[in-house]
Amino acid sequence: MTANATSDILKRTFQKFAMRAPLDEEDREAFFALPFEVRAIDPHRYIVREGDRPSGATLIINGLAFRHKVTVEGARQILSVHIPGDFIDLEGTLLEVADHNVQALTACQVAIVPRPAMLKLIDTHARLGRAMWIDTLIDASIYREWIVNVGRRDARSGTCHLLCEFARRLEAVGLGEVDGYELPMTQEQPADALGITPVHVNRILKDLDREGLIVRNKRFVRVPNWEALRKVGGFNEMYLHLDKFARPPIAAGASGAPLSR
Amino acid sequence: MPQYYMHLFNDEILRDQSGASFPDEQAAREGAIRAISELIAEHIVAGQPVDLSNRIEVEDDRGDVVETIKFGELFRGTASA
Repeated sequence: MTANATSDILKRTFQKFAMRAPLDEEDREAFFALPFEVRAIDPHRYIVREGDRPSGATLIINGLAFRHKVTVEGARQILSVHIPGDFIDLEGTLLEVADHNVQALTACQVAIVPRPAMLKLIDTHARLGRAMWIDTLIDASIYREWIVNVGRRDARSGTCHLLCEFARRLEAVGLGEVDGYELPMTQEQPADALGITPVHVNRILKDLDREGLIVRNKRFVRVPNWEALRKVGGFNEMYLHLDKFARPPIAAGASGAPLSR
Repeated sequence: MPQYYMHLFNDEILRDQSGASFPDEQAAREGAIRAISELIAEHIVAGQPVDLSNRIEVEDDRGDVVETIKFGELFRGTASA
């Protein structure tokens, strides 16, 4: 099961990279020859702590993880949320010291590629290096959008924007559809992502629910009217650069299917 | 860290099902005050009246209400001349 999930995610990740740079057979062989260790991580456990020197690059096989920083007053700012197929430590590979924390949101399985192997791959396979560079550029593009969320969008628009982003990103890796997906978060995480209080998030979600923009059922979010939600959030998915994102076929056992659009 | 639940009593009752973690009761109270100030600010910006009798009740993980904060409590102002 784990072996299947791992090889499935590695295949998807390679396909994603192949969308971003012209990769050949040698790149493929080198990528699949990467050594890795699979590790199970309990919900809320730290994957990387600020100040750590990560020993490898971490690829999420399943589950969700998030990056965050904590102020001296103890307030947490969530910087990004990561989904299966995301490499969360490409930075760590080159920057050596982690400048932020990475924590599991749900139970996660990750594959850790040792840093020397990752560095060697980048040094010997320029096109794979380029694909990974694009990966971190897209991360940065998402950070830019989140700065707008935190700094300039009001709480309601920011919340809608976040819901739209998760919908499109999860759909792109075949883990949901824009009209409905699982969001294993309490109001605390969106609050820390948007820089507002959980009570406020709760209030906004209730309003969105009442207005028919979303339908919540435990941890599932259904979006009956994508256009309306997109409009309130001011969501324009260009920043996700999904045209540089593979939409690989769904392996048996994976939940959900990509929405044809 | 202990969980605190913040129930909002305004035009309707919005019960907090999942709670949030705070180091202690004082920090939870400060969290509730921040929440109220956000809600008040939103009303002011939207030009809506603020009902000063609205409140947040903070419940600890034993189910005891440890703080009740009315919106009106937070208004302290001066107006010179």
